[in-house]
Amino acid sequence: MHNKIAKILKQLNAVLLGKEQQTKLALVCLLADGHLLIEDLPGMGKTTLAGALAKTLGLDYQRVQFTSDMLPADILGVSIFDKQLQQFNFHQGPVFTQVLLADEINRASPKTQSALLEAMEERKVSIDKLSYSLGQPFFVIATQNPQDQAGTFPLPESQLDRFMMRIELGFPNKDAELAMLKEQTAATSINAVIDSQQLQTMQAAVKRVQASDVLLNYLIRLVNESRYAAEYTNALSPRCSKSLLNAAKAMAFIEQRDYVVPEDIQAVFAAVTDHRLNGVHGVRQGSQALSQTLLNSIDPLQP
Amino acid sequence: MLEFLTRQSLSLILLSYALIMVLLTDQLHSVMIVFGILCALWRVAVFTGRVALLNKLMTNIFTLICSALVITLVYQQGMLSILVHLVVLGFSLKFLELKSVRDVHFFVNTGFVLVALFLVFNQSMLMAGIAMVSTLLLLTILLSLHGKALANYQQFKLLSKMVLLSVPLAVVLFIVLPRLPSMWKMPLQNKATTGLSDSVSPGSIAELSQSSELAFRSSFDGKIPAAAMRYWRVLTLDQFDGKTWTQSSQLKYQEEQVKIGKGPIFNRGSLQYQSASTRKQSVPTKENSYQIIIEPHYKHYLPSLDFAKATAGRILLSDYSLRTLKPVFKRQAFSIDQFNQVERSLLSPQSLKQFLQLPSGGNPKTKAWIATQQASGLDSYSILEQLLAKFNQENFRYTLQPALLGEQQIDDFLFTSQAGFCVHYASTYLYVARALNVPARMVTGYLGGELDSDSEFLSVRQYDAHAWVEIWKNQQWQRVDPTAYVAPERVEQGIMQGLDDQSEFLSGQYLSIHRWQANPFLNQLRNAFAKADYLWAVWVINYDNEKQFKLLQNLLKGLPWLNLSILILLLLLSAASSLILWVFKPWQTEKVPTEDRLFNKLYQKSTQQHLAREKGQTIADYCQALSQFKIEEPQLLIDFAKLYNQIKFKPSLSATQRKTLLAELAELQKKINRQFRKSLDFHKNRNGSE
Repeated sequence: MHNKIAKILKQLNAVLLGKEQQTKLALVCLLADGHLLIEDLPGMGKTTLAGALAKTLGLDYQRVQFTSDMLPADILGVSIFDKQLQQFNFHQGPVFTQVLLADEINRASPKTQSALLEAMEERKVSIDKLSYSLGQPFFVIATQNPQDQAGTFPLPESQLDRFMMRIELGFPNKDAELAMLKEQTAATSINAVIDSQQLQTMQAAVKRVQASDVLLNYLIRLVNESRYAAEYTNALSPRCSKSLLNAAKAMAFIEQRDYVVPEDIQAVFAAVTDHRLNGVHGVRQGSQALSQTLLNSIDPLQP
Repeated sequence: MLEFLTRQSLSLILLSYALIMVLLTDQLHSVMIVFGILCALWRVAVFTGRVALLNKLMTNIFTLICSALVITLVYQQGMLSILVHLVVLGFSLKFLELKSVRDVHFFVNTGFVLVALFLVFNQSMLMAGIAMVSTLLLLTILLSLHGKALANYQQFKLLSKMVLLSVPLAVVLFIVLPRLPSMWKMPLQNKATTGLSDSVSPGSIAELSQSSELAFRSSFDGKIPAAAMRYWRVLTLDQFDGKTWTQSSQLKYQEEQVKIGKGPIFNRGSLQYQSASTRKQSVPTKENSYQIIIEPHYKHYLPSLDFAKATAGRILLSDYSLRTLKPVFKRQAFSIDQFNQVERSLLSPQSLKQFLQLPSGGNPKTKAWIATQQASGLDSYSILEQLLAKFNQENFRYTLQPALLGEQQIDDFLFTSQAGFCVHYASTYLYVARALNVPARMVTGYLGGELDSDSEFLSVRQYDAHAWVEIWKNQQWQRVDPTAYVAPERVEQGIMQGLDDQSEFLSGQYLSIHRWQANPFLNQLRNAFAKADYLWAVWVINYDNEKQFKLLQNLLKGLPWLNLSILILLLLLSAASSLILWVFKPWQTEKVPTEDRLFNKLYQKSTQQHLAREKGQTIADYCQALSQFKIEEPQLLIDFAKLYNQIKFKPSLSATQRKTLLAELAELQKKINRQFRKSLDFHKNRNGSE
């Protein structure tokens, strides 16, 4: 199973050069069965990463470009009256897929955003008193552009909380960019390394990764610090601590361990907590991200 | 002006100053009291902003002058008095110049010393209670100084908590801590206090009768003797100058001997002049025994019922009265055996002459009366009985406020005023007896005493002071109490009943609770208090080394191997160990897991490489960073971290696996430390060679 993981990562890194950390986190997020928010400037490879992820994992995916005039029906689907059958027929929207790539999610109106968010949390769609279950697995990979805020609706804290991780890609380093320019890697060359069945097996394996009491204690101390220390305006929710543990488990799984160590938590911590700590109007304070401040203030050794 | 002193603390300070000065009023020279009042007024004026504090130079000069003045004033009164005055002076001056927190500390500590000094003079329960209140007040000052943030009730709560917590400690210290009697000797006070004096003239006992102060208490092992038998002998007076009865030089010599601690002990036939024809004497047998708890009177007197024997620590004088070896300067308990008789002896010619001594001349009327009686053929003893009958039948009155007597005292009393109290009657009777050649002497002491409600103990107060006569008859001293013929109630029921006019009793002392004996409620209250004070005296004041030892011995009876020194050692050890336990609380410190201990060992060594672990850094990160340093095999560190993580965070490890892994980890740690040491030595050598 682990050589598959290595293959997946290798393929992803071939698509997105020099971003090993980010691709790993993205994979961790999917293995932990969480939704992913990618935030960066335009043209940084957000969509490329999302697409490559879906393809590599052998999942079918739908891409929706969000705009401000979009309605919930544009995502969820719509019931149309069939004259021949004399009844309404539900036409599934793009959400009925395994991976939904929601491009520029912050451009949609809050109404549309929340329609998507119900699907994210409940993994089902309710229309006209009928609920339609979404397939398994189901991921939302959303991207958003932090700049250029005119005509956008920033996701509120409650909705940010539903994304397990938020990652930033950042500019590639010199070598990576040079390599990128030299060989034009085509998206078409991406093959599925595993299928969705195998992905679910992996997810089950991730769930079996063990976490000792000492480690859970460390996690709880971290979360509690955000709740009781003065510098954090947004406290971390219990959902966040759950996500943190699941992500750490997935990280441990990728690192070929069947138990979680503090390094796993530290590796996923920034991605899992930064967007929750900063909030909608969150401004980075000082040179250090809030998540880093939090990590530095808790000693993993001393209880 | 004084930010550190709140209005509240300053009022507390004023209050405690006033209280302590009032406590010590009895011990202080009147000048000192006036000075204290002036200090208080000055301080209040400073408090309200009318005057300024004295400056430093002025204070110093003032202190010197006052000290010199005080020493000259009270120099006569002995060391203790000088000590008290100097401390009070310092206390007052400090009170005047309170400027900082340190001053207040000084003030409060001096206050504690003064309260302790107060307890030197007063040991009754009431006084101990008052001393306790002053101590609490001083503590409150300290608390109000440091606990400004606390509300009043919180301060009160804290104070009561502290006091309550210290009570068990105080009790244990009281019971267990050995008394150190000879380390520190109380300088004796020369001040006269109430009590019997060694000379009596009509009038002096009347003064005593105005005092309801406790003289002593007594409890009996056997039956309590009837009121009329409770003649507590203290002093014998046998020298008369026409006005005043004093001790003859013979007796004075004995008293002096007592003072230097080697008085005569007239116990067994040690008396000379034992007649050859002495009858077969019956051996004195013990009738009763009793305890006396005597109030401090700074003399050697020890009241006793007839007859007592000298035992260790006591001296028996030739007149049967008891003396203590050391003056009674604190409440003290004595246990005395009462015997039915003393071994008889004859009077020496010398003493015979003394017991017949009278001033020459004077009192012609009395002499004439004696002559007429003699003329009617009566013998000496019958004439004396005639005199008693005269007291009884004629218009003699028992009063504490008799008219003044003239030059011819006996004549004036017997034929003119016919009003007086015990000393008048005793003195007259003595005069007549001696004039008739009957050896006689005056005995002063106390008569009666009041039983408490449960008939457990007698309280004898100063107003129970009494004087009576002993005449030598049938070769032994026989007690005659002329007062009994005038006012038999005095003998049987006490002085209040004896008085013809009962309003004379404790006249001028309206506040004294003893004056209002008729009020049943007050009487009950008085009795209850007397009882409590008695128990206080028995159990607290007289708890000395001996009792302590006995108590501990009783406690230890069941454990023969345990003696006192071992017990004290054990107590000290247990106190020390519980203190250690309490400080370190081993049950609260978690055991450090082995893997963490190993890491700490490694870490101690690695910090010498100047790499400290940051707070949030995990062990793997740290080892990673450390492996960049000069170490032969960096891989060891990575392995260490991996192993550590496995041991620490893998829940599925079995105990045996864990053990082997721990052994491996220990091995790794040793290797790494060795390498560290090597690289350090290498660095040192290199630095040294440079």
